[in-house]
Amino acid sequence: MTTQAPTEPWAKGLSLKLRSNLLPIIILLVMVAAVALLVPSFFQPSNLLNVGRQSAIVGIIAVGMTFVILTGGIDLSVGSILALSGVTTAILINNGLIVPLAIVAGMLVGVVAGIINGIGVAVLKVQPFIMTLATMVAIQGLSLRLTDGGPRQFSNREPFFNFIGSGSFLGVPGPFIVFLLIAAAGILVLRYLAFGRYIYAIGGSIEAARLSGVRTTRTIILAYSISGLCAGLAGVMTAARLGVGDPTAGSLSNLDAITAVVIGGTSLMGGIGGAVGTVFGAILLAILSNVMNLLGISPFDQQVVKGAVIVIAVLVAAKATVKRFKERRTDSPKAATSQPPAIPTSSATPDSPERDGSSPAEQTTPR
Amino acid sequence: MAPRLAVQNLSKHFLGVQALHDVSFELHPGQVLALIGENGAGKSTLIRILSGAHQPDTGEVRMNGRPVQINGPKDSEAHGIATVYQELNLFPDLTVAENLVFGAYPRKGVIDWKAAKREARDFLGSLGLNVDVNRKVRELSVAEKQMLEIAKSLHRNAQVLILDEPTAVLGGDDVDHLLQLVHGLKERGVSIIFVSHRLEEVFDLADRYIVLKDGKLTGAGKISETDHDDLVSKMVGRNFTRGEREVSGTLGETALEVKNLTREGVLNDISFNVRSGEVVGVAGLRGAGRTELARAIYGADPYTSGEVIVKGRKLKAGKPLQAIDAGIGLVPEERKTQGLFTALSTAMNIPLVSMLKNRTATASPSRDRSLAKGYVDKLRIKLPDVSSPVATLSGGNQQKVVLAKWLEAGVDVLILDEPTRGIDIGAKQEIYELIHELCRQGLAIIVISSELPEVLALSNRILVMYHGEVAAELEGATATEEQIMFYAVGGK
Repeated sequence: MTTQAPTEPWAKGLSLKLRSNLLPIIILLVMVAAVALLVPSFFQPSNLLNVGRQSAIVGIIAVGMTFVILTGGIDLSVGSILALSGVTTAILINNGLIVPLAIVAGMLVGVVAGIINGIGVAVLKVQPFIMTLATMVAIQGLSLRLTDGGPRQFSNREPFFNFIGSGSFLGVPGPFIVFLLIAAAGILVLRYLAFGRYIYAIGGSIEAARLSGVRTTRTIILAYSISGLCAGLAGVMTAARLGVGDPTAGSLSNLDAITAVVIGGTSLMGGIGGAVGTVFGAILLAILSNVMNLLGISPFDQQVVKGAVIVIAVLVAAKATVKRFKERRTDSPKAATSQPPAIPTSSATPDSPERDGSSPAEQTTPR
Repeated sequence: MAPRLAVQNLSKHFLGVQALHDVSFELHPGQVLALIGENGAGKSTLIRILSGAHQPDTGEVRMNGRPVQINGPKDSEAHGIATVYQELNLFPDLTVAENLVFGAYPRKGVIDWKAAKREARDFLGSLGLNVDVNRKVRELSVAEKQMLEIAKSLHRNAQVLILDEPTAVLGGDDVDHLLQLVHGLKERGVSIIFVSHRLEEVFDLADRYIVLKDGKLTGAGKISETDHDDLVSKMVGRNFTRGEREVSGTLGETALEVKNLTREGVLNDISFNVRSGEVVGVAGLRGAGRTELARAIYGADPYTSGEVIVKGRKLKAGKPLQAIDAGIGLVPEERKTQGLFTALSTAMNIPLVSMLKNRTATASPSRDRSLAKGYVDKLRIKLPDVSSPVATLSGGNQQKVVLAKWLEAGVDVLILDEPTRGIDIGAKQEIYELIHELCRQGLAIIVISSELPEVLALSNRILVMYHGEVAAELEGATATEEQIMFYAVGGK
């Protein structure tokens, strides 16, 4: 029962590993296969690029959201932040500020909102749900106030601004490229920076993190700031695409982003999951919408299907996690009689730094 | 006349551990029976059987001569047995009256709150308790809550009241009030089982006593026919075995100095020091303040006054990272929630503290894995894979992961709080060996333990805590279990 050679076939280990770690990718592949049979037009290059474009905004927000959810929190304010940062950028450009500075200002709005969320959660100890619900409402009010409730048009001739809104490079949509860059950054931070470890640690057990010396307040504030920054960037990009700063833009993107994170296998309890899953989750959502559009399913029915997909994804992931925690229990009768481990509600994903299952997972314990 | 409560030949075992072995006793109306024993002696198991949380393997419980089957808290209440635990079962946001009559409301179709309040006021008054029945329970003091809980049981016609260490969480005056209340109950004919670690209270209150040791009855009789020393020797057992002691030779400089450490109501003016190469054991019963002492030194909890000095540097209260920087490590009592991240892998757990201590900005999964593999070999940690969650490891192996975390960070002072609790014997031995090894390497070590043989076997010196104070400092080489227990229960 120690680290001996696997005693069971490699194939079974592979399947377990896949089920527990690569769930979003599998769902994605199955879906794509099904789509190939149902709607061949899906695979036309122009449509695929369209899917990439559609996944970008939610994907960027979701990558930021992953940090917050990994700490065991949630950020409901991202939709409002998106709107406020777009409005801010539009107003500043209209007032003659040069575009690069207006972009930075829009993103800073997101960071400031994130810091406020973080202070509320980490210092004032307000529950994340309540804190970000409050800022969601307040920030939306702020956007409406700034624009008197209507969209603000602005003229935009900056090539870079166009690029992140609606441009493309070698045929690949600009927003999708930005999404991939943000995703890469998120994955690297969570995997290769000490800060990423502290995020997982806090989500695992905030008391253990504190006793290990993690400066929990600072880390949590930073996590919410990252979420705010990503939402701010998404807001700037949305404004660039639409050519207006719309105070009602992105009102449901908080829910879409949370959905992407959860489908991607990150546990809402914190400590388990990662950004790779989120990226697949966001793309999966975009494919789902796209295919249903191609099939001519009504938007109302689409929502019902989306809801069903979320529940199914989470159920499958939770099963895989329970298996993962149960099957590897080792030696000692004491261990068997003691409390079972707290089973997180969701699955481990490919990029939680040590969850890549570099050795086969089939080593079970003889009972 | 049949006794109020008779327990006959009760036995209970949990997977290999005989928690209770053939225990019998009787309790008559108006009698106070003191239930005494070390931590883990079987007191809790006995209480749980009487309150219906556990079923006995063999033996029976009789109330007023009739055998009763107690399958759950409801049965227990129906038979007139009530237990007041330390963690009280009151609704903090309901009023005193609402709590008292909960589930047994006076009704006029709907609940008649006027009548309920009157009833509550009268009932509490009859017990000599003057509490405003309109106050929320949250606003009451611990003592008031406790008395309310007792009143609630009596309101439901409890004939046998089990008080599980009621005074452990109370201060001086409150203890007196509670003891007065218990005296009053006695006169009303209520039978009481009183669990306490404080023998002075036992002598003040009880008529009879029973002593449990390793699940067996080691003594029973009238309080008037025993004394402090006699009870202590019955708690410890006469032929106790002492572990092989291995006190290392050379002691170095003072590594940790604790001066007048005080945390209001928890720790009172504690001073001691630990030299490098020395193991200082901290003994005492639950609630004596041992864990609180460890947490205060480590900076996990704040303290009111006093100093913690490491290598001449005074530490600030409430800052674990500063303690880590100064070279202190803590292996906490609650391994699964405080010592480890059970959802994370072994490879992710081990380097965390050292990353913080060295202010490392980057992390490397592959480096962590090879690091973890090193410790797996060195400490003989049994696990399927360093990448699997720590939750899948057994208790002993989890504890080794905690230790690996500190070894990797590098510490001069290591505080171990119940390092072998819930760990099988083999792993226990390995952890002892590791402590000896670290001691030889010149670490200053504090071991907090409820197991006296463990404290005796490991320590150069032993601090015995009682009620937030160091009641005695004993030489490890000459101390005995009786001696420790004598001070741990408040002997002077």
